[in-house]
Amino acid sequence: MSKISHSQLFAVLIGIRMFSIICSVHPSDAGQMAGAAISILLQLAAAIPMIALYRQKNFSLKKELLFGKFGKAVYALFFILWGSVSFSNLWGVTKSVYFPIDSSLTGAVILAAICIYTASMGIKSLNRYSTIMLGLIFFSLFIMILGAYPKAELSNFAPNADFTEITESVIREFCSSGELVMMFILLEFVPEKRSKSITAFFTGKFILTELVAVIEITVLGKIMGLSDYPFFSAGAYSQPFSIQRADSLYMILFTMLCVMTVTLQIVLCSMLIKEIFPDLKYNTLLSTVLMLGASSAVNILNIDLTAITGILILLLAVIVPIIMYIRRKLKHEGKKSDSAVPASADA
Amino acid sequence: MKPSLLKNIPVIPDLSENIKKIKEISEESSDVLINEVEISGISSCLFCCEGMVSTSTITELILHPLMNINLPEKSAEALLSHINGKMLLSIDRPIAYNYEDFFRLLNSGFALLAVDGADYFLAFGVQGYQTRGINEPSGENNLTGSHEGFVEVIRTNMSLIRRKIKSPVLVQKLFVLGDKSQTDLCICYMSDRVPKKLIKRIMDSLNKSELESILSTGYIQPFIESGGKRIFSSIGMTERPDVLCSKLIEGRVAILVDGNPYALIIPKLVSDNFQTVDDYNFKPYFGTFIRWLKYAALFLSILLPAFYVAVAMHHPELLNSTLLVILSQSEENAPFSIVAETIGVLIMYEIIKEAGLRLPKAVGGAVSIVAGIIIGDSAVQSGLISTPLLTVAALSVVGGFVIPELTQSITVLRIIFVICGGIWGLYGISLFGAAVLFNMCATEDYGFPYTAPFAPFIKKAMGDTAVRSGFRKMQNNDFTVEDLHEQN
Repeated sequence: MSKISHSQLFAVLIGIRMFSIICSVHPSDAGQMAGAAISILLQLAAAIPMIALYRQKNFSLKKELLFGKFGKAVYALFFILWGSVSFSNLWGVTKSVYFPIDSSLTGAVILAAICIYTASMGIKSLNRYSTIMLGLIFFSLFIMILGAYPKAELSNFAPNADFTEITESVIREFCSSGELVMMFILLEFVPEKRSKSITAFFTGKFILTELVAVIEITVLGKIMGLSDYPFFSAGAYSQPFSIQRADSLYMILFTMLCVMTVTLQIVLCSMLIKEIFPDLKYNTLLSTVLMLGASSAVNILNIDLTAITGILILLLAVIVPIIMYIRRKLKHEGKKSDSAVPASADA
Repeated sequence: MKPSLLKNIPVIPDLSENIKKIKEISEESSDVLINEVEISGISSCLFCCEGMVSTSTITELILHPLMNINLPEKSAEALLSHINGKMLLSIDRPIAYNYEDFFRLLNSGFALLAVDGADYFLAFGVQGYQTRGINEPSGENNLTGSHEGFVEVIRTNMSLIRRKIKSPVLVQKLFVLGDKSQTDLCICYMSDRVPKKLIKRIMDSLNKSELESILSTGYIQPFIESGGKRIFSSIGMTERPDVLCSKLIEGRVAILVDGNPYALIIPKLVSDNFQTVDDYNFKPYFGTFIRWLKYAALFLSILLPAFYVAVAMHHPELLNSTLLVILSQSEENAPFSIVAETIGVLIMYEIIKEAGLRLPKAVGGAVSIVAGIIIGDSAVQSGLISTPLLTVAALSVVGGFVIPELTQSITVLRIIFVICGGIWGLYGISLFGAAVLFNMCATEDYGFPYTAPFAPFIKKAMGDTAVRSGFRKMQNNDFTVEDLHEQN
C-alpha cells in the first residue's frame, strides 16, 4: 500500500467522522455535547498505546499483529460490519431525506458499484480525494453557519444534563468511532508526524462534533426531537440565501463522504482478505458484497449493531494495541537481559 | 527494406558500389540527386535531396570550395581529412558510417559527400526547405504577452526556446524515433531542476514505442502518459515558447516533435488549465479574479446542465417560486423530456462545432449563422426547445471555452452528468462526481499527482494557483514541480 502523509490521514479521519455526524439520528443536547467531549478525551487517551507502539523502532503491524491470520480476519470482519453500518446509514437517509431513487436498495447498489470502481483506484487516490472533501466540509459548514446565524436561538440551549444521559452519550459516541480501528491500521502507512496527525484529528473531531451540535440545538430547538436526521433538518432550517435553498449542498456532501467512507472500508477489508488468502481474486467485489449482504441482513432482522461495533472497537483499537505494546516491551527486555548474560560471562 | 536494418549495412570504400547500393535502396527515387564529380583528381559524389537543400548555399559554400581543392596526395583519406580539418564548409558536419545515418541525413536536408576509397560519408548542413513563418499561435491567444508561436521545424522551435532561456543549464537533446518517419524529437529540461532519474524514465518510456511513424505529438503521448483509464490528460501541450519556458523553469520536461507546432509538457497539473500568460501581465488582484472566474467556468460548463435537469425533474423544491414558475411555464409545452431535450441541444452543438471546424472558413461562418440564428431561434419559437434550457446549454458551452485545454473531458462529462442527474437527481450527480474526482486523483505521471497542489495540499504552491501573487512575492518562492513529487 502507498504511504499516507500525516495531513492526509487527518483529512481521511475527519471525513469519516463528518459522515458519522451527518448520519447521526440522536438529537443533540447539552448532555450529548458533554458526553461527546468526554468520549473524545477518553478516545485520545485510548489512542496513546497505538502511538507508543508505532513510536517503537522497526514496528510493523503487518508482521506483528496478534494471532496472525485470525487477528487479520477479526479486523476484516469489523470492516465488513462497519461497512454494513455505512450502507444502513445510506438506507436510512435515503428513506428519510428525499433521494430520487426507486428504492433504498437501488441506491445502495449504485453506491456499491461506484465504490468498487473507486476502490480499484487505490488508497493513494482516496487520500487525495479526502483532501478535497476536507475543503467541501469546511465550505458546507461555512454555508451552514451563515444560514444558521440569523435563525439561531440561544435560549434553545438548556445546560441541564444528568449523569446517566452523559454516560449514555459517552458510550454511544465511542461505539460510533470506528475510525479508531481504521487509524490503528492506517498509521502503519504514515511515515512521520503520527502523533501530530492524531492530536490534530481528535481536536478537529471535538470541534466538528460540538459545532454541529451547537448549530442543531440553537437552530432546531424543540423540533429536533421530531427530525430523523438532525443535521439535514438543521440544514433545511438554516438557509443562507433567500432565492436559493442550500439543501442540495448537504445532500452532495453526504453522498460524496459516503463514497469515501465505504471505499476506505472496502480497500482495508480487501487488503486484509488478500493477506489472509493471497490467491483469492476479486477481493474488492467480495468485500462489497459481504458489506451489502450484512447491511441487508441487519435491516431485515432489525439488528442494532451499536453494541457489537462498540465491543469490537474497544478490542481492536484499545486492547489489542495495549497487549501488543506490553508483549513487545517484554520481548525487548528479554532480549536485553539475554545479551547482558554472555557479556558478563565474557568478562 | 526496414530503415532499422540499414544500420547493419556499412559504407564500403568503393564509390561505384556505394552509389549502386543507394540507388538500390532508394529504388532510384526522383528526389535523390546524385552528382558524380572529380575532386582533386579523386572520383567523388555529392548526394542531396531535391527541395530539402538550399541551392545557393550548396553552390557557394560547398561546390565552389570543393572544386578548388588541389592536393599533392591523391588519396581519399587525405582529401577527406583536408575537407574536414582545414575547411569549415558548414557548421553542422556529421559523419555517416552506415546507410541508416546516410538516409536520415540526406532526408533531413544535408548534402553528403562520398569519396572513392573512403568508408564513410561527410555530411554538410545546407537545409533550405520551405517552412511556415513564426506566427501568432492560433489556439492560445493572449492580450499582452508575446505573439510568437512554435512552427513545424524543430530547430526553429529549439531556437525560440533558447532565445528566452540563455542559461547553459537549459539542455535540448535531439534524438530520432519512428522506424519509417525517422522523426527528430527534442527533449528539453533545466539540468539543475530536473532529476536525471526522471529524464531516464521518460526516455525509457519513449524508447519502448515501436512506432513506424511519428507525425504529431499525439503519437508519442500514450507512451509517456501513465496507463489506466484516465479522464484527464496528465501531459500538457502548448504552442507558445513563453509558456513552455515558464514550465521548464518550474522544473518540467518538454518534448518537441519535428513537423508539429506543439510541445508536450511533463508533468501537467490540473491548475495549469487555469493559467495563461496574461495572468502574469495583469495586476495580481485581476489575475486572481480571472483565475477564480475560470474555476467557476469549469463547474458551470460541466455541471450546469446536469443541475438544471436534476432540479427541474427531481428537486423543484430547491428553486424559489419565481424561478419555478418560469421553468414550469417554459417546459410545459416542450414535446420532449428535459433529459432528451438537454442531450439533444448539447449534441446538436457538438455537431455544429465539428461542422464549423472542418469546413473551409467561409462556409464555416455560414454554418454558425444557420446554427445560431435559424436553428436556435426557430427551435425555441416552434416550442421544440425551452428558452431556459437553451440559456443553460449556452452558458455551459461558453463556460467550456474559457478552459480550452479541457474541452475533450468537459464535452463527454457534461453529457454523462446530464444522464445521471436525469435518472437519480443530485444523488446521481454526486455519485458520478465522486467517481470522476477519484479518477482525477488517481491520475499521475512519474510521481506527480495531477490534482497537486490542491490534493495533496501544498501551501507553497498556492501563490500561483488559488491566487496570483505578485512577482515581488513569487520571486523568492523558489518553487519547482519537484516540491509536488509524492513518494510511494
